[in-house]
Amino acid sequence: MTIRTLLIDDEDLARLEMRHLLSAFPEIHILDEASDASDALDKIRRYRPDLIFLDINMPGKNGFEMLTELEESPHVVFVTAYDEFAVRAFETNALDYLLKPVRPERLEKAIATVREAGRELATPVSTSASAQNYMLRRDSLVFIKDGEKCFFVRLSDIFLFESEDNYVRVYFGTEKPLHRKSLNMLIEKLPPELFFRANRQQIINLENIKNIEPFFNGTLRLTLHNGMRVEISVRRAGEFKERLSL
Amino acid sequence: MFQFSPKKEMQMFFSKRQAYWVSQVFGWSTFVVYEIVNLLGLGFFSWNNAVLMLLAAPLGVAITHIYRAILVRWRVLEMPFTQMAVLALVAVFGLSTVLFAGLILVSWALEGAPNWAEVNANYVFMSILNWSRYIFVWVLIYHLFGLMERINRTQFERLASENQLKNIELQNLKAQLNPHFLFNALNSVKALTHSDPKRAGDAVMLLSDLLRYSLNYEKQTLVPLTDELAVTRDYLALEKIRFNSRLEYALDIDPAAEKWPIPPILLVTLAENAIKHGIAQSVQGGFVRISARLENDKLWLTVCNTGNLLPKSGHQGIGLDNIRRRLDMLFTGKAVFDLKNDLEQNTVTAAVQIPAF
Repeated sequence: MTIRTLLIDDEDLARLEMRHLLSAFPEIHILDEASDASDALDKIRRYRPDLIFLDINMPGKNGFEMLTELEESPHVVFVTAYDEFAVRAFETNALDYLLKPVRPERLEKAIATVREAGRELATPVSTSASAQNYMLRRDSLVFIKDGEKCFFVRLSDIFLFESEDNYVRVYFGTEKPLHRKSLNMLIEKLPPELFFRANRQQIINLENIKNIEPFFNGTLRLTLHNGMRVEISVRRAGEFKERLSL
Repeated sequence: MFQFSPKKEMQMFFSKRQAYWVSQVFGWSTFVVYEIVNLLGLGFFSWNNAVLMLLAAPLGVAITHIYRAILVRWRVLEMPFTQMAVLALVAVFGLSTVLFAGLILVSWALEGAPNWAEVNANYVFMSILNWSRYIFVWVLIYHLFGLMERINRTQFERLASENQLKNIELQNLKAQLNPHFLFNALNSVKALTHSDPKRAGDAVMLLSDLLRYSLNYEKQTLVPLTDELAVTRDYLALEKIRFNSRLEYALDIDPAAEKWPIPPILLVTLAENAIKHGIAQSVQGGFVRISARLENDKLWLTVCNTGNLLPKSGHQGIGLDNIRRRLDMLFTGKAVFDLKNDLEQNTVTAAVQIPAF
């Protein structure tokens, strides 16, 4: 299995050192390097790497800010000289972080973790998808940063998106962080077989419905697995029934 | 850190005031009881005498209270000790005289005109001396309390300033070992060990010189500019290795300025700030220019870098605060530190004027 990898660090020597360290791992295939966030965003969208080694402290946008701009996140191994406290703040699914100078044993461990995650996902790399018609898959990782809290969450683990002002509150597990994207932008990227727009404010995960009951005036009321209740508007009820009967 | 809130101060003032009045009432009541017991025991008791003593107490309260007002107004308790002691002794006799005169008037009103034949110089003097025993006790207690309070306060202030010094030292210590720089530099060295071993060796030497200096500089209050320049050059050379083409730097030093004494680590801190905020934050990078010249018997040091002061970092960080405080302490406010942002040129300039020590 090849792990298609991108190196992101603003220091030439730091990238050189990472290249040197990674040369001991034949399955790591380094696609390219990026020296700042906007360069990295371009290259991530172009190459769709399986893995990125990401320096947190970079000029312009830092590593976290860069990740929030991505629709879908590759696996991330953070590399930092001194910001490990920032990475430790991760709530769920954080892959790994390495401290500079990087110990080869630690790198080996990090790559083993990526290998594990990779087997589980069996990521089919979508080719030639441009950013415009780009679709998320059920196993896509989404990076969400709400204040100091950061999350990597698998799309299929999310059971509800709910618009809140100009942003979207994302419900998964016991968390509900605010994601700095709009609901309208999001619905276009979500896989339609998994997510359904229930009303103006909410998008639900169809695999997370526990119970459906008729409600007032032709609306439907759903109960999700976590006990939350969602109403399907009259306009959407027809399509919803159609979708379920399929 | 050591400021009291106004409310707290009010509360303290109030309780002090209460303590004062309790002492007044308790002290003068004791005086009355003591005098009456004394008169009874010696067989001199008469109702006239008792009434006189009962009237002496409020008179005493009034006189000493006025004395206290004078002490507060003239800030006598803050005067040097001997001056205060002399004033207190004079006050004891002055107050006793007033008290004695007051009581003469009172007894005149109660018993009619005194027997003037009895009122000679000796009688007056002995009476004043007699009353001064009580006034002396009052004055002694009041001044001792004041003195104690003063000692407590100065001790507290000394502790506070010591604490502040320790804080500055601690912050200096933190500032001198900027971990971000240190670990990134080590990472660069590690990369160089296989790509360019000779340069790796040079970098290790630069780093060790810089570390040695930053671990030892606190032993000296001032160092000649040349010493500080040497480590600043080391530091910049290391950052050049890290940032490569993103960093250009130049030093323009007037040879006449080289011996001028400056606080250690000052220039390194300024250079570090220039790189941290000017170069590391920019994708294209930029330059750092350091200049030193003598003018009007002052050393003018400037560190100029590309970049802008970010509005989001409203405070200028621990490093610059420390510089300001150290300069203030060393040169008692005669050194000037100034940070300017030229938006047109896209540069930030830190300028320090250091007078002769």
